[in-house]
Amino acid sequence: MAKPYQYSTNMIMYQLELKNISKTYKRNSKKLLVLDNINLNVKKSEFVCILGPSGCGKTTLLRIIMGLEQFSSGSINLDGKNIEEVESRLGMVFQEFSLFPWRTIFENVTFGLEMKGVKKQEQTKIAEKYLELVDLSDFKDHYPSELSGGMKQRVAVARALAVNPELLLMDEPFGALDAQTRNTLQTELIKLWGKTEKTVIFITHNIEEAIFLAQRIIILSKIPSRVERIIENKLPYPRDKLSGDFNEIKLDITRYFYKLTK
Amino acid sequence: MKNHMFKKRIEKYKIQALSIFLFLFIWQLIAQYVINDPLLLPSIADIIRAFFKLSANIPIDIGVSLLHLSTGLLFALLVGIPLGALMGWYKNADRFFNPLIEMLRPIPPLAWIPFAIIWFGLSDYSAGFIIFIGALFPILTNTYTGFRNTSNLLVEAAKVLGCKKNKDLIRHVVLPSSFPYILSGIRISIGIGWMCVVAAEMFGLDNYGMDNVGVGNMLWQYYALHMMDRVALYMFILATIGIAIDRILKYIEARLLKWQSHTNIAQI
Amino acid sequence: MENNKIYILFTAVVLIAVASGCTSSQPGDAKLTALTIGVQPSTHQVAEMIAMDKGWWKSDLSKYSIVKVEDKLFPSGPPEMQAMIGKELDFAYVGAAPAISAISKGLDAKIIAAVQTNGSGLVLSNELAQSYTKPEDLIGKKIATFPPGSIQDSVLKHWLKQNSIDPDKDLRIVAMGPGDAITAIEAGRIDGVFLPAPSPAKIELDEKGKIVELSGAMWPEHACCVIVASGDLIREHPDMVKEILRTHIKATNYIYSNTDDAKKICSEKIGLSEEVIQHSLDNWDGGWIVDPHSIADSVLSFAQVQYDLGYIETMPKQEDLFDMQFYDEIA
Repeated sequence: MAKPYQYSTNMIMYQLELKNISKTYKRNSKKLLVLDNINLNVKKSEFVCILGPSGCGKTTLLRIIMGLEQFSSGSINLDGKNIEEVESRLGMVFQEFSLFPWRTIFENVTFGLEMKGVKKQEQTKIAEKYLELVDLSDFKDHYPSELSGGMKQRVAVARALAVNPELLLMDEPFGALDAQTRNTLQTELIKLWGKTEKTVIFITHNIEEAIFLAQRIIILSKIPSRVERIIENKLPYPRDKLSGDFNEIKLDITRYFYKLTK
Repeated sequence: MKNHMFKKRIEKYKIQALSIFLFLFIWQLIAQYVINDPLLLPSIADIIRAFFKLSANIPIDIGVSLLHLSTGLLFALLVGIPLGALMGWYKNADRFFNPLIEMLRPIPPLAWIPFAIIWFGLSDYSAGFIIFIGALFPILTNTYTGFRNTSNLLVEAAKVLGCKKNKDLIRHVVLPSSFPYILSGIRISIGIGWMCVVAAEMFGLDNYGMDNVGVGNMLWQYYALHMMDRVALYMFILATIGIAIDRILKYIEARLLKWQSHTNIAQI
Repeated sequence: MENNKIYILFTAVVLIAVASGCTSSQPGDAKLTALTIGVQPSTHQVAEMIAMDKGWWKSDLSKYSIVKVEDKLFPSGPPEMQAMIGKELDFAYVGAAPAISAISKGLDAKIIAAVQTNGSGLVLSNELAQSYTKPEDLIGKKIATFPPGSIQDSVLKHWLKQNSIDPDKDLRIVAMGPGDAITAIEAGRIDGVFLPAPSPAKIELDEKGKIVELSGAMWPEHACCVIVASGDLIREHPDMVKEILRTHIKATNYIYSNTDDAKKICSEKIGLSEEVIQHSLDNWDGGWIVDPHSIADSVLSFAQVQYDLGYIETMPKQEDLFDMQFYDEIA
């Protein structure tokens, strides 16, 4: 594990540091250990995937980072400072469709800006910019119920980005979509990431998706989850799912998973 | 496409009109040939005759009754929505008020008349009170359900976008999310409130300074005088206004909730 | 296919209606063994209560194949007449005005006897009663009484007009049932009420008001309650009708000869204390009578009131409302 504050020609300072994060759920008198001493560091503008089987604590970990849940022990630092409850410098995209159905697409995207007290004119500028970025400008006056699943998630991404978070947390955002839509959105996400240079922590249980998207893949085990393995993915973007290199990594990880889940 | 929709609508109305016409026709037949006693069953012809005789009074009667309805409804909204919201949001408020509400709910508005007289005298607020009793519970329940059913996911989505305080969450997420429930609660309340008009106008109200007005009031008076054709007429009026109100409200509901339509533009 | 369904439905409904229509009207049941009497909880109708309490209805009519007689209590005239229209009652003790109204509308029945005259009282709130000296003191006030067309409403308005007071413009008369009127005055929500006994006495004993005028002073010897017998009973069982009259006379006489017992029976039936009943009898001007001739004119005046108000279409004649032959035969 690389040490923090490691100086070289590029100053490598970790944007997000998770130190010994553990989480225990108490229900009635039973205790369930979900996360077991997770240590994780993420660099600025890095695209990191947390990969694990269904039922491991990856969603819990993300929610802890976001501040929607509390961790039982350990510490989280953002830019070296202790993280507070729900950081407005973090953004999140959920797996289920989470757009506000009573607001138009445009109004959904401006929601976070309204909360920040941004002026109307400025709101419009920013919202239009991000809608353009996800290629949904034509639908800004439509309601979510009129959109397909893929479109809804694109709006969710635009909405999250509109408030200019430093870190974007994504909880299996394409899990509810069909394969074709998923592929398209994966490609769009990488383009978006290239343009905005946000730090992204992306959760999935889909090995192919992780290899396609991430520079670093962190594999979590089943509950109680530990960091089992970290894989550096140095394939150049945009990646080709049919290439030999890609499939080599895929085979490697798949074998590893098979061993893990035995 | 438009032509097709138009045709379908005409078909729908044709069947509805047919059912009503048939009902009236059979009524007239039975009244005229089978029973032949206006005291037992006034015929449609009798009712129409009564209508023409009373046509000057009817708008005023409807107006007075609608005023009574509005009074009761206004207070039902003022009490029901905040209380429903409170109970829907805070579990302790729910536990606290629930037994009281469950005890009061089964008591029919009619039973409250003596108290209406004692507390509000013979004013039009008394009538409003009876209607309030009827209209309160649907609004209360629906607001409560709306608040309770607020999607946790949407609340969290708002939180991660910077909406953290309770009052902000209620304003920006819970209320808009509950809006369909509240609207339908209002519609049901108005319907029930209108049904209570007859009970509400049974005793000597002020009627805004007029005598012998109000749909419920006149219905009772004509009943006491065994003028069954007029009683039937006023029953028809009650029914018609009731349907009209309901249809109008349904239309308003649809327009306000147009975001609920599910027409899919299935593209990527 | 749709059309076929509708025609079938149509025919079915009509058939059902015709069938039910035919079965509902049964002319002249072979043997009449039970009678139902309509009565109201008022001191006016204590004759009926005495006869019922002593078992006289049953014993006097048993020679005519009657084995069961029961009575039904009604809060006021109109529902009682409604029950008679629905053929639920064979005869009824009821106010003359509801009887006029129902018979004029087509109820197959006739008035066969008088029951009582006068017997209503004007009660004012305590403060108003103190300063009351004459009818003009009522100007600008709000009085509750039975709805237009009723005896009370007719008597009150008649008396006001005789004193040059316009009942529509000079004061407010509001209509309601007896229960609500009592609630209103006892809650201090109204200036006065005009109600039949024993309500005025009850209000006085509850110290919520004072009786200031009696109806007999407003319209001397005005008719009040009568006995109405159904057309079926009159046509098919005239001897029973005569017997009913005899029993009614016996009971009416009993009121005068055994007043204490009459009070007790009345109190038990109505559910008010004997004290209230006593106070009511001490403070009323009502008289229990039987002879229908004595009230014929008064009743027709009430019919005139209803006709003038447009509540009945044609002005009835005496023979439309009364059947005096039974009384004449036994008198």
